[in-house]
Amino acid sequence: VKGPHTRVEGLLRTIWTPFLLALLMVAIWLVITQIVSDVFYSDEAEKYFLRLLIVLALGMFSGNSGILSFGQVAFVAVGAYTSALLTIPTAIKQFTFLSMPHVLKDWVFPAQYNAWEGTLAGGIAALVVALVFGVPIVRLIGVAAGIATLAILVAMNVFIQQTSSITRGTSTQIGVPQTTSMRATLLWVIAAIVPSSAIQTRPVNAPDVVTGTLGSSAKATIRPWMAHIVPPSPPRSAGAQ
Amino acid sequence: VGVKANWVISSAFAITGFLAAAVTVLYMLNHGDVRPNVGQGPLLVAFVGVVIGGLGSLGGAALGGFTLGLVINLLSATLPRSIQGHTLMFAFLLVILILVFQPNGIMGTVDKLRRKRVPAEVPRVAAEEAPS
Repeated sequence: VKGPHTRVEGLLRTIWTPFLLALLMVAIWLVITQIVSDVFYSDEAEKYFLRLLIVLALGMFSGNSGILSFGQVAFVAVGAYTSALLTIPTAIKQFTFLSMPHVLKDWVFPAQYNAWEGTLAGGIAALVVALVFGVPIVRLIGVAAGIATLAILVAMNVFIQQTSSITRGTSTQIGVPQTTSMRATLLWVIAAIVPSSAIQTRPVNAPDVVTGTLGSSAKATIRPWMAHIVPPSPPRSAGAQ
Repeated sequence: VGVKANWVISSAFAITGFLAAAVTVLYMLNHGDVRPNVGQGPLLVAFVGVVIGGLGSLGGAALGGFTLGLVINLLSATLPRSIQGHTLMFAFLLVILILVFQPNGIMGTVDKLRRKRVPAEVPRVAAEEAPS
């Protein structure tokens, strides 16, 4: 029997977790900025939010697919290097990237993106690279998939270390504008929490990571955004609501 | 029935630890110096080698190790000097390709080929008993 009551209940259950998590993040931000107001702690909170973003990304992929991805940091690197190349002031780039190929030079040197554009450019570059690697990886399951992602990580690491004309190898990239603010990282975290909870599946029988059989788990899941169509499952514990 | 699984697995783990240490002695005698990060290279090769060979078979592990060693050495011998540093990158991209086409490792495919010789309907055990 599907009444309006169950429908509202399902909607509440869908938005409850992201709402609570976002509220917690805002609470942390308020405590750090309003009560503590110390540079050390606001720096640490920025790092905390940034790491949380990486964990959310990893959780979105590994938590839903059952593939243990060791290679996620490779995409972090792609985003970092792309945004660094495009945001460093032209004057600095002209003497730090002397041996860059001319094709890239004409395109990268004039670019002086602001924080927004740099973030988006880095994200899009990582998205493209991840898509290229993702197409073959999704055909794998279990240990083979994990090792393939590890191979991505190693390949990317070697590429960055050895292609010094573009990445400056093991040297530091000088002059990246430090535009990251705590409020911006907080907004990104909240923006990431919403989709990650929207695509969160509830595996009835989680995929076997070792033997790599996905089994029926893909069918037997109810996504929260489907809760309007599918009647919600009975609450797991009395204290959940 | 009377085998204690926990005990067997932990003693097997201990034996592999002993073997790994024995290998390390030889490896270090070859190298001549010890640093905290000296194990990073062998770690990656061991991990990847065991999986591309095929988990769960001794021959597979050895074959995987040999394959990876062969690939890395062939690449570093044939690549032009300008991209010599990228050897490991090409090797690991090749590993991804091997995994995509041989998800169960090289030994997994060998097993599958071996099983194909036996008629599909007849269970494997029965087919092996038939000649005797």
